[in-house]
Amino acid sequence: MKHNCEYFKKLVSAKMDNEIDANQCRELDQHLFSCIECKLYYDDLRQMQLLTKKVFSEYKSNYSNKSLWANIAGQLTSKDENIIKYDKKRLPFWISSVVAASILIFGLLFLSTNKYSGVQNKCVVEWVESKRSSVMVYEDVSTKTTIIWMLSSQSNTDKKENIMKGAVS
Amino acid sequence: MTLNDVSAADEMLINEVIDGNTDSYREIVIRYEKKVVGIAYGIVHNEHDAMDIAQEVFLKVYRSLDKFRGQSKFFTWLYRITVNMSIDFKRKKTRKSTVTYDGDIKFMNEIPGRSTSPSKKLFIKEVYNKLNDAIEVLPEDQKATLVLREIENLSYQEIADILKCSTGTVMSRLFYARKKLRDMLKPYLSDGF
Amino acid sequence: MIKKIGGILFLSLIFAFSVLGSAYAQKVTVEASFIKGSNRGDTVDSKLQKIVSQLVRLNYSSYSLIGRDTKTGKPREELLFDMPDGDTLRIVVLGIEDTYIKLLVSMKNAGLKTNFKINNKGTVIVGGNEYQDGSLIISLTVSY
Repeated sequence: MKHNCEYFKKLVSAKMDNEIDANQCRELDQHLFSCIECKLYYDDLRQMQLLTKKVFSEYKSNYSNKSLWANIAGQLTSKDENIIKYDKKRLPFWISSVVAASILIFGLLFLSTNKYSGVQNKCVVEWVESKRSSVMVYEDVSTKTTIIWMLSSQSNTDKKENIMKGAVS
Repeated sequence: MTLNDVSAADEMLINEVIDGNTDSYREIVIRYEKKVVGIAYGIVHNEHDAMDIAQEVFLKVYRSLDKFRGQSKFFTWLYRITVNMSIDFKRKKTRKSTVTYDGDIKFMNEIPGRSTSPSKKLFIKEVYNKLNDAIEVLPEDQKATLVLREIENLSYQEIADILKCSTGTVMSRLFYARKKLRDMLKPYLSDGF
Repeated sequence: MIKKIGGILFLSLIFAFSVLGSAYAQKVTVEASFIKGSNRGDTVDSKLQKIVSQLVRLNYSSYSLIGRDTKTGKPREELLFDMPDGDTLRIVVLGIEDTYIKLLVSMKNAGLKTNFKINNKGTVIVGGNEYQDGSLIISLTVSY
């Protein structure tokens, strides 16, 4: 399967963070062996990452030893402490029950009209047919998106691999 | 100490604070202050502002502890507040287009294993300033993602939890941020460090 | 006090039932976004911000919005969208079932026909046909 350099540059960035799997790593190494542009990109990114870490770490190492606590403790008031241990006045039990019951009934009725079902983006594909190409249906777990994709040529078969990596992961 | 041990220890301290033990909150502040200041600095690029933001973050966290229901790890919630407050601070504060960072960056005078000439030191300083300028102009979401990754070495999943986005978005933001930095620093990178 | 609360409860019940009743005659709105996904360039059209996290799964390096159209129809009504590649996107609103909106979607030239049900304000992505130097992606957001 063939990917373009943009794909491998993204893998380079993810490899910096150890966020690619063994197969992707192998695939990237093979590509870097033959592609000078991506090899240079990889080298540049490594240098830049060292620079960036150096810049940020030098700030941390020069960070003042004076703790923030002295300033924070002085600003905490008894009101802040009471926020945590607050004591609210309670309504008479029967009023609370009636209000709670009416909210429950109203809420259930509203939910049943689908306005606030709260389950966004769930799709169930019942059937698919295509006269000219095969069709793949994917469920992207992270965004709960359903993708219905027509495959008609070699280039789209490659896309199928990409989508499977992206969508099903 | 594993990440789970850290989470469990944080949860114990939080429960003690909610029960009224302010000393336990001191423990939390000491544990996280450097990280919070570091993240704030990464976004606002000013030591004093970063310290101010960190103070506000810890005050806000203390006042909101009753709302923290343990649905995420404590540091996820803490870092999310830090990033949001830093970005808000930066938006409010107007900045001039050219900013020198001499007071904020203490760069290394020597690269281990190499002797450094005065001209090389100046060059290094110039590169650092160039890098800071480049980071400064990144879009907020890319900058926040880069800061969390490069300062705290958080995983993509942890960053996604903090910024409330997908790991794909984290990967994409880091890719585009690094691409932009590389384009701006390209003339310097060939000299090597 | 009790009379007041009882009155509020009664009115709430009346309102809720009227809302329920109206659900069966609800009009359904379909927003179709026609997008070109390509591996040339690395830009994402700013108008696609809301769905970029879904599009990114298709692993193209650039996404540009070619066209967008919104149509509203009652159950059993046919909605026709002109596609950028000359094809026609035909959507029939089959109805609302439990918490789902049922649709029949077909593309004449592409020869695709599919039947699915989706939650209110849900988005589904359909595509794959070659378009210019990339592929044509259609994002369908359905609501009522």
